[in-house]
Amino acid sequence: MEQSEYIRVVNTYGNTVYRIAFSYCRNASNSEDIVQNVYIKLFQTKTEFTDEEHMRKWLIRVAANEAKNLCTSFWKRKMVPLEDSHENLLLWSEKEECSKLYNAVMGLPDKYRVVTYLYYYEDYAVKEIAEILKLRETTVQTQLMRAREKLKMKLKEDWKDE
Amino acid sequence: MSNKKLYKETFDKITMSEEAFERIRSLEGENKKNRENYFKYAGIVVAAMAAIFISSNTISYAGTGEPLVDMKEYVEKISIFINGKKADESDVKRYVDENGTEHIEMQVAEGDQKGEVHITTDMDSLEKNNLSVETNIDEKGNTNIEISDFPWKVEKKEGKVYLNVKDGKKILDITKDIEDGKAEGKVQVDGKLYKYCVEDFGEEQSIEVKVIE
Repeated sequence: MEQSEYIRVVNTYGNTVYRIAFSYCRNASNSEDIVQNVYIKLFQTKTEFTDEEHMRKWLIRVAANEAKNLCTSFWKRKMVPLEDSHENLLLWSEKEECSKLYNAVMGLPDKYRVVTYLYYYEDYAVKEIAEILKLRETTVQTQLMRAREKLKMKLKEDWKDE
Repeated sequence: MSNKKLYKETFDKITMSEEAFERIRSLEGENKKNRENYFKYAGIVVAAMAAIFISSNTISYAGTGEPLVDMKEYVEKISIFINGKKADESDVKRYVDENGTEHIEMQVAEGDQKGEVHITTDMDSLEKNNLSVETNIDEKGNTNIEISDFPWKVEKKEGKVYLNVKDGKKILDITKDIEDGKAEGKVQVDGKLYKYCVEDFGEEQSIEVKVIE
C-alpha cells in the first residue's frame, strides 16, 4: 500500500476503527492500541480489497476481533482500569440526552454494544452486521432487540419505540 | 430526534486523539517505540494461549504470535525448543489472513524430529493431542516457544477410561462421560483451571485442553 493511500485510510477510517474498539473496551488507551494493531495488520494482509466497502468491512471485522482478544479476555478484564472510559463524558454535559445515551449504551453487555454501534451509527443492516461479525442473522436480531429493550428501560421517553 | 440521529450525535464525540492518529500515520515508517510496545503486548498474548495439532509424522503446532511489524527482526527473535533442545528453523512464513489473524509457519528440526510449526493469534486456539507448547519472553525480549510431550493422556484399564492429567498429577475417571464418545469438564491443577475435551475414536483419542484462568 502506498504511503499516501495508507494515510488516507487512516484518516478516513481511524475513528470508525476506534469506535468499534471503544465499544468493546470502553477506554481510550486500549482502544488506541487496538487501532494500531489493526493498521499494522493492514500492512501485513495479503487481502486484495475489491472496493472501498470491502476494506471498511475488513477493518471493522479485524477491529472487533482485536478488541475481543484484548478487552474481553479474563486477564484484561482484571488488569484494565475503566476510569478513563468516562473522561469524554465530561465534554458532553451540555447535552443531557447524549450523556444519558452514552451511559446507557456503555452499560450494555459487550456483545450488544458493537451490534448497536454498527446498526445505529454505521447504518449497517442486520444481514451485513452478521457477515462482518460472523454471527447468524438471528443472533444479531436477538442482540439488537435485547439492546433496544435495555435502552428503552433506561432511557424511557428519550429512546423511541421502533 | 430519532434514535439513529441521537446515537450518531452522541458517538460522533468519541474520537481518537490527534496524538494517536499521528502515531498510527507514522507506523509505516520505522517507529521503534511502537515496535517495542507491540512486542510487550504480544508477549502477554503469547503466554496466554497455545495450541497444537499433530498428525502422523508431521508436527504442526499452533500457538500465538506477536503482531508483525518488521518480519525479519521478529523472525530472528523467535526460537523454538523441542523437549528442551533448540530446534533448527527454516522456511519461515508470516502473514495475516482475511480475518486479521496472524500466522507464522516454519519448518523445524530437532534431532530426528522434523516438522512444521504453525503459530497463530487465533483466540480459539487449543492445546491438542500429543504435544504441549509454552511460550515465554526472556529479558532481552526474545520469544521462546517450548514444545514438549503433551502431559495429558487417556488410559483404558479394566473397562474404565481415565484422563491422566499432567503426568499423573490428577487421574480423572471419565468412563461415564465418554460413553457417548466425548467427555468434557474442568480440572484445577498447578494453580490453573483447565477445560478439557476428550473424544474417543476407538483406538485413538483426541484431547483438547484450554487454560481458563
